[in-house]
Amino acid sequence: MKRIFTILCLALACANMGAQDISGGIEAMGFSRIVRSATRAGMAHSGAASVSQRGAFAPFSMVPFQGGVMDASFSFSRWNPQGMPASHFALGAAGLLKGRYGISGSAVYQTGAPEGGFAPSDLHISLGVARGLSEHFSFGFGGHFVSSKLTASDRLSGFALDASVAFRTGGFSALVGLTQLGSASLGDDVYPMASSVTLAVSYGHNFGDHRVEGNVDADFYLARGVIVAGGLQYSWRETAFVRGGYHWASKDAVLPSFATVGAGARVHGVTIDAAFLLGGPLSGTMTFGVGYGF
Amino acid sequence: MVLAACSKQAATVSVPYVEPFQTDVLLVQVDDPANVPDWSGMPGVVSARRLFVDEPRFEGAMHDFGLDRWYKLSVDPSVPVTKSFGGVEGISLVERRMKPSAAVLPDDPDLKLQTSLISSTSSPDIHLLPLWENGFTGSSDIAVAIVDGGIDQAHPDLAANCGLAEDFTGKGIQTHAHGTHVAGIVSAVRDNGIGISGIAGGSGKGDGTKLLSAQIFYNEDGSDILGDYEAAIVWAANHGAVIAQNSWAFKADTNGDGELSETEESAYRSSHITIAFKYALEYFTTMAGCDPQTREQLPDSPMKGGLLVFAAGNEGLDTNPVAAEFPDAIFVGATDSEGKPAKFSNHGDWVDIWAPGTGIYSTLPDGTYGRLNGTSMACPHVAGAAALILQACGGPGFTPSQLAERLKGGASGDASVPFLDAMGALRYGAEDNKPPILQAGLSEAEIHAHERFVTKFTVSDPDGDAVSISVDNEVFTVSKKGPDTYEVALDGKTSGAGTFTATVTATDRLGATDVRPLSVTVLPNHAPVLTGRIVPVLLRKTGDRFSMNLRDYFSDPDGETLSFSASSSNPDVVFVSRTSDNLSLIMLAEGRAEVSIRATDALGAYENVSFPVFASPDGVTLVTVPEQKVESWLTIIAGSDPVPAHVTLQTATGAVLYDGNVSLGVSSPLMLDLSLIAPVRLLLSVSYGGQTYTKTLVKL
Repeated sequence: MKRIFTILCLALACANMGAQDISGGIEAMGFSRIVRSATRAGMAHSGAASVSQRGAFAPFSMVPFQGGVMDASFSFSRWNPQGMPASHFALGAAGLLKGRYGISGSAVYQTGAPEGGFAPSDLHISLGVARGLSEHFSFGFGGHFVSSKLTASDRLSGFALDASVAFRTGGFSALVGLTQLGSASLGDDVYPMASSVTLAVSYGHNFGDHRVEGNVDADFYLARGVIVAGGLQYSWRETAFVRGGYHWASKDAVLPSFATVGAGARVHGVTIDAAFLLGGPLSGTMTFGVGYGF
Repeated sequence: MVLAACSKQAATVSVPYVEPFQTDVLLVQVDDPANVPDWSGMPGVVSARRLFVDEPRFEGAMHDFGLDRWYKLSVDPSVPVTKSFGGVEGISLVERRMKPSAAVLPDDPDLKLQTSLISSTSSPDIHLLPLWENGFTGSSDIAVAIVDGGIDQAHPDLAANCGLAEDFTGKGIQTHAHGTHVAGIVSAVRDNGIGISGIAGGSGKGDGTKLLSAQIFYNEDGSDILGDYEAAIVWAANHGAVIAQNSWAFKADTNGDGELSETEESAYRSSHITIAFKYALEYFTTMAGCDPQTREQLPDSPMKGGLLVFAAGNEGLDTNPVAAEFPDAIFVGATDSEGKPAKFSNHGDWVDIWAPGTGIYSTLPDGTYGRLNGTSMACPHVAGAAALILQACGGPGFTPSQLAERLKGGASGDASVPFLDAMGALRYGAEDNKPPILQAGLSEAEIHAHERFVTKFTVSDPDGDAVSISVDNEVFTVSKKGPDTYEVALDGKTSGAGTFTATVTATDRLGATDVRPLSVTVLPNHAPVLTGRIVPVLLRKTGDRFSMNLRDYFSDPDGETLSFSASSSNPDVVFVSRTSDNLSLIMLAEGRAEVSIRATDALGAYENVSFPVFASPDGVTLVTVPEQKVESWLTIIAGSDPVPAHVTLQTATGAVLYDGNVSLGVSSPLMLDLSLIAPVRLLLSVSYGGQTYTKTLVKL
């Protein structure tokens, strides 16, 4: 008997042995679904249909509705500091030609903590175009190249497409689209990207110098998982901003649930924003952004 | 050989050169048989007599062939020929004749390959059976002269078929092993319930082909004394033989040392048969079976003239003096058990036909039997078959050249090695050929890559013709497995995966065919797979042992038998002992080792797996298998004995893949199936005993 206890037997019937339930994560490139805009980060990643956001990190179809002619933004995130810390750098730009033709591009580079002589890194490049069909409608489409260096010898790479239609009238705006429809491959194995059907609505109302905007975004992932994010923004004279929101994710979604708070300021076209993520495994994540638009 | 051409000098060799002639015999042709010189007065002449035995009934014919002008003189070898015959009138030619030897090989082990009258598994068939089945078993109206050593006429398997016997050695009738063996092949009594069957031995009712024994060898003290083979052949013709079976050839290795010197070979190549011998051969070819007066075919004779059948010789040479000067005879080479020319057999395009010549079983003196090798044994196969063809086709007007044409034209096999085919000879020239019938075993099959496909094809021919089989795809091999059975095979190990099609064709001697399609699919080979769950092992004190049966953990999708190998990364800590399928891990010291196991299938495809073995009394903190790169299963262990633990596994984006409380220990690992997860970085967190341990992993 002593021998039985002192030697591990492979044939032991162990309670933990056997397939355990695994939730989420079956799609590749989940990081590509992280919102890079520090403004939207403060509203729990909601605001895809918001017309008050800058165009650089917005959905392509929203560029004609952004109001400005040119926008350039940069954001930095300290991601998941309590779990797998990583630094995210994002640079984006958007422009509007003749008042109705939009073009938008962004590049994201993120790197994790070095392990031995290797530091994992990811790259996400986006490029899209849009056209405003009228005062109320616009559409846009674009593509993404996403690459993830998992180990020194394993790189996952993929392509995806976006297509969306936006609508606005008065203070209300809405967006519907397909987000990041594509696949990624590692060697001979191919995996679906974290693709979703995106629905977003936004409504803003001015009360003199004050404005309140509410946003609700929903992503229905084609593989599995649903994410619904809601956010509120208060602004004074379009100069000072306070934000908050909650990001709800089903158990099998590519991102977890969390709450956020954020604040920002805009002076002479220059915007500075900050967002803090609270709760859940990503708690402590911070995002800072700076942008310029005219 | 003409005397003037024989002035060869002895070569300087280790074994003295021996001239290829009888030195104590001279053949002398006189100008006028009625005016013969006085032999007794010539220096060195010991005795003299007519070479060809005078027979009054054949006197006229023999005179026309000049046979009455030939004398055989026994001479003193030390007396020069010029001294004996210098200035003697009335002599037109003096010849010295070559020494023939029985064409049998020594009983070397390498020559003990067997063959038979009825086909063996791998040797070609002389197709005798169809003739026997059609009643052609031999006829007592046909006589074959065995020009050889004396036949054992008392042999119970020969006696009934034996006819006249005559001695041409001057020593008297003697039973001789070689002659008896050859005679048995031709006409040992068939169907008599004892011993063997001769090819033309009859039906067991006293109707076997007659054997005339023309004795030209007399064995004395182990050596053969040569007789007058010229006279023997003429005697055979004069006494009813229409086939002369000659299993002997002139020797090139005249000194008998077993090696052919350049001098010997040169002398052999430039040698000639005697004119006397040539006259004798022409006489047999012309006069056998004929009336000596009218020179026409006798009413009861099957053939007008006689067929001479000679052994090619056993010295591996490409020449034969008889063939060079008397091509009308049939010259027979010997094949081995596979139907290929035997190494010992003389060869060349002058060899008319080949027949089995190794391991031939036949009669021997004193009622016994045994095996002999040589063209001597091949030759009587042809002579016996000739007797059967003669039984079937002979009659008025049938000639030796027609018989020879049938034997040669009906031969089977490669044109360069025409093989005796008795049925082919019988059917030679037939126009109503029917195609062979090919019956297939399997026409379609599917095999694994490590398997071998084998199916049997059976052939038959309505006409009894020889049938060969071929396959038009080199991936398949064909081998003969019986008289009418062939095995077609495909080895999956060498063919590779795929579908292989072929047409199997049976072709008879006249080119008629029957075909069958064949399709074999070789499935791709699959490497072994890990079917059991291998988890880390904890050994807690020196000497602890853990054993596992590897067959419980690996299997092969193709059903192949697996072989295993195993190694330890740290054999000073954990020693690996493997016996066949059983693996034992033995702790030698505290530490950790990676144990690697490889399962290999029959084609060399393999699967590797490795797992940690902890040699520690305290267990471990947090260990995963694999250690970092996960492809499917992730095994998580911690501690030693099971303790409550909280385990979370999340992606880099914070998505939680697993979050649960478990009882976790080395002996109770948590196993997660991540096979459906896309490649991503993972963070594993395990909390137990008030401590939290984390580890970064990569799902690939």
